[in-house]
Amino acid sequence: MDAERDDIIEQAAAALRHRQWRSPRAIARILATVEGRPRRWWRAVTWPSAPFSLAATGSLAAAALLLGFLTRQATDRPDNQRQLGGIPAARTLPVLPAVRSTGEALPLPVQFTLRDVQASQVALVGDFNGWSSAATPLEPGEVPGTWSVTIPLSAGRHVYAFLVDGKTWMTDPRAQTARDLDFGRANSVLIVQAP
Amino acid sequence: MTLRRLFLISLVPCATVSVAHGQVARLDATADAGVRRAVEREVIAARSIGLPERLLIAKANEGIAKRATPKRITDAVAALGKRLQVARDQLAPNPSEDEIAAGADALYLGVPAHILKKMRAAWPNRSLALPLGVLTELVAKGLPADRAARTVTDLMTRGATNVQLYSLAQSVQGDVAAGWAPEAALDLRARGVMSLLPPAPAASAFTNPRRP
Repeated sequence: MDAERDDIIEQAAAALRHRQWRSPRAIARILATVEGRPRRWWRAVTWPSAPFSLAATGSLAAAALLLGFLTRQATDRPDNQRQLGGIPAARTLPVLPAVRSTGEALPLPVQFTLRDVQASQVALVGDFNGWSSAATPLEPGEVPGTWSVTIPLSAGRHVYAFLVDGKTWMTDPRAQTARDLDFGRANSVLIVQAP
Repeated sequence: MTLRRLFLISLVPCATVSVAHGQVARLDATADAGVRRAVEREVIAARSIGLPERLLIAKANEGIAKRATPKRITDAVAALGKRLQVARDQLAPNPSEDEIAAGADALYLGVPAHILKKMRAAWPNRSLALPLGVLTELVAKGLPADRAARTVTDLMTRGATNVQLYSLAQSVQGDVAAGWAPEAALDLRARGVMSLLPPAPAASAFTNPRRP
């Protein structure tokens, strides 16, 4: 049994002796092991606990601040730009592909209209624009007192209202209303049909 | 502890707060300082568990636009955070933001959480945003949540399209506005849609054994 095992070891050793070690990577690895020099990945792992110069700290801090500033810039875009890809809602109607893990529906253009002859400005606020009074203003029509805006909305149930002259909350006279258990002021309801 | 380690550890909360602050920057400028702080806390909590924090900001903005008190706003935002979490869990494994929002709306009107799970089982690979919206609207019109959920889920299981579900909601809305009892309207309109669909499969996703 032992003699048999010795034969196998001998054969393996002979095969290794004849092998040409030409790979520089393999040689470097062997040398690193022999010299006790840490490999690159090990240096990366132990980097946080290694000695650190003041200049390097300053450079990293500056890089982190720059990264934070860029992140803020990227996340601070107003909701209307987020929703409409930076294109004003009232002018064009881009149909943007929705990013979903499940589902097939694309946003559909929906027109909101209001008739109020006394209003000097009207805004559309709803769950689709973060209830922002600045995101979706209605534009006056040619006939005095008519207002409208068209925006793309995803399929599903949406609640919204009109904000007249920045202070008067108004539900859509043409739509169903929904109770608001949180704040007590009713909203209008719209179900957008998926194509 | 080395300077480098301290520096790295300090980056984590800085990054989290920075992004949360970026989100809260979308909060209405007139927001009370207390509301702003409370919303920021909720946003950080939501972000840490992967919930869509945009919806929390929107809820706070809704309260501000409706001139609600700071307490009502912070309470509403906190309650929404909990509903979003429940909706996300029930609509697992990969609900979209629209689905989570629709699920939270359904829960808001009293739809039991387990119904969301059953609806997901009925449509595992299709968006539930519209079916959940239809269900929410039916419940808002006065239908018992279980009854409305059974009807909607049966229709989904039998292959109803989004267009048919939408049509059902519109018809029931119209009937109720015309003075019909909500249950009578749902029964009639659901029969109309059912008549267009193939026969029911052997096992419905909505397991509610019917007596003969």
